[in-house]
Amino acid sequence: MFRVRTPVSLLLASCAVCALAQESRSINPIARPQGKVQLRNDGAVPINPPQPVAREKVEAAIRRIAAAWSERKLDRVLSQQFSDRQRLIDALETKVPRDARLRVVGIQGWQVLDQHRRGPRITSKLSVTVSTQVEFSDSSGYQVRPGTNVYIISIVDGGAP
Amino acid sequence: MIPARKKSLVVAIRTAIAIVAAGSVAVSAQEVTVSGTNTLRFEHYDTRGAIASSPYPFSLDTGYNELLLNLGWERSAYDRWRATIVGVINDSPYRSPDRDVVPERLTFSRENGDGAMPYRVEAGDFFAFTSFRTQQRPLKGASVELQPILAREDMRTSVQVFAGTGQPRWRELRWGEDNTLGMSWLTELSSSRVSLNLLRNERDQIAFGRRSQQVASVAAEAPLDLGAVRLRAEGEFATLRGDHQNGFDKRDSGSFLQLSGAHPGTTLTWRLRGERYGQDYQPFGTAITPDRRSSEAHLSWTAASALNLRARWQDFRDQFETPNPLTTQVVGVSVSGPLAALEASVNSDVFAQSMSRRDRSLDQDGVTANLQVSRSFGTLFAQASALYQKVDDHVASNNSSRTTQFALSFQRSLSIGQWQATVAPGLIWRKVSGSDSTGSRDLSATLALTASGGPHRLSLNVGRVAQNPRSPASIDVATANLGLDYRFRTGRHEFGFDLAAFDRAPKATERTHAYKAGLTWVFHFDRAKTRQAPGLRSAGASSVMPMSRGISMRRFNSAATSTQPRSV
Repeated sequence: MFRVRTPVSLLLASCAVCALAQESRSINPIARPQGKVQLRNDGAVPINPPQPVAREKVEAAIRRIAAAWSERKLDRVLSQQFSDRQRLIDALETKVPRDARLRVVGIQGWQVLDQHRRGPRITSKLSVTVSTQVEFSDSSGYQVRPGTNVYIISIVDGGAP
Repeated sequence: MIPARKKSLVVAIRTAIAIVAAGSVAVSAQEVTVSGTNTLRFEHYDTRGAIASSPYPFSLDTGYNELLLNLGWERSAYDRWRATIVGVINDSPYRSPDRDVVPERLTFSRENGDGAMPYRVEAGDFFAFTSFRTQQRPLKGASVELQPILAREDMRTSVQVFAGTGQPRWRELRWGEDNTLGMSWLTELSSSRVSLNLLRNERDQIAFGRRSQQVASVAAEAPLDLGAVRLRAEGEFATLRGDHQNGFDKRDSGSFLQLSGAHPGTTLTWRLRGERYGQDYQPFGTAITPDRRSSEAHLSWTAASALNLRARWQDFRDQFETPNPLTTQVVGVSVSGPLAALEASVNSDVFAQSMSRRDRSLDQDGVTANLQVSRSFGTLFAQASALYQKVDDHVASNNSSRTTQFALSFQRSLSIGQWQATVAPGLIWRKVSGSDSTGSRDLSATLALTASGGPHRLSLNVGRVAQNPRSPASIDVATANLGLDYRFRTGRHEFGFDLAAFDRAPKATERTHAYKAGLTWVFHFDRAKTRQAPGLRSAGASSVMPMSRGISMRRFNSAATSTQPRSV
């Protein structure tokens, strides 16, 4: 899962002890008349039903991920919960040709999977189908590696004023 | 004369616009909310020269009309219906592999907390997630979640049942090709949780034949207090029984355990992690790697100056159940944060990695060191970075290499009248030495510009890479890319023009010019004014949370308050 923060406030979180690892499902509480505001287990306030996210924000987020991949700065957008996160970052440094860049060919459908609020920040988790291609030159000439993948991204909005 | 296919596309686009126009009427009804966009786009792709070296394999005039529709209806503050429809009338092979009318995402959901048994139903596209090790992928089908009301306020339970097919396209949906039935029971108590997951997958694919498998797992997570030491433990144990892509009637398991903690009174934190996935633990719909055993240790310390130091040790055994496993070991240290003495911030990562097979058919080690220093000089932001990478292959010396790279970039903010702009030039020099096939000297220059003023937005990216390979068999090549995007917004309409140009100039072979140009018209169904007005409702509260800082509650009145969703 990629994390993209739309305000330019990328803070690399160290391994906070109290943070849930989130490697299995958590409860997204259903609003009901009885009782107080139901928070999620991690303290966030769920937003149900989730509100739509504009295409321009999805496009900007995907462009930013592609740029981070091309500039070898994937650690800035890759979620701490991404499976095999460090291996992917290391592989990008050691196995991918240095001149390789990721081009976004087309953004297909997307949907909001989950949305919650923590303080002033609203986090929207989306699944986006993206058609991309990796381009580089080697001794055989120009190379293209196309692919269509589903990206799970989090867009964090409404940060510090 | 318009070809028949184009004519049908035009008719389809007209129909879509008519549907949208009809849909916007519903906005006037207070209980129903409609939002979304309709995007009409025309594109031109062209390549001159060597087509094999073009990023755009098809040269054509094309386009599409994309419809994004969000519908919401509230019977009460706790009984909410929602539908999301994303579809495209497509003529572009770059937009979608299908042509004409292509439904892409269809989601219908209802969430009802009014009754004795709060529930959530989703149909269409939904994301099936039980855990990283059991199921984590989009499905097309239906999901039902029940959240029974318990006597204890600090305890919550959720039972989820779902069925869906893991295929990407609605137009070629075949249930039997890949379907999953799942059940997940989860209970949370304070900050602890335990879950039980059961899954059954069936797939009938030409390449693999008919296969079915059952996966069961139990996962738990809990804080542990050992005196002053606070720990957190998380683990999962999963079993698989059945078939996978490489075998029939198999049984195997996967497990992981993570323990993290903090040293009392300090900023020192640590994390230990172990994972083991058997050779036949290959559940469909997960991203785990079978036949792998891994151990990791991470340490982090933050100084009073906010400088953060991290260290890691990782050991991966791939194909560990085979006679010839691959061992990968990584040791790394990284530093990030402010350097008060230089009034700058630093980000550095150094790691050593060794890879070897038991039979020594692979024996490779290497070191990668990255250093990045950035500093502001008034409105000018400067960044310098260096990279050194050494790879020694003790079996195939041709794969050994040394890479040295230096980069320098600047970013300057400008304000001219109503325009706010940022200009960012950059330069990268790189030398790769080693074998003839990999050796090269590269120089690349980039320029990025973003500007916005009133209803106008502009972004421009230009880059050129000159590669001079060492090998006489390889030829020098210069590759240039340009990207331009301009948008103009007026009321509910947004107009855009974008251009992407590509130029590849090998020294001795044919040159390639390619470009795409696009014109876009976006129509927003909801007015800009109403999209700013409402807030977001939280679970369990009949209130509206404003988008401003902090949370304030006020009574929600669906009849008097605009419920137009806003984008976040």
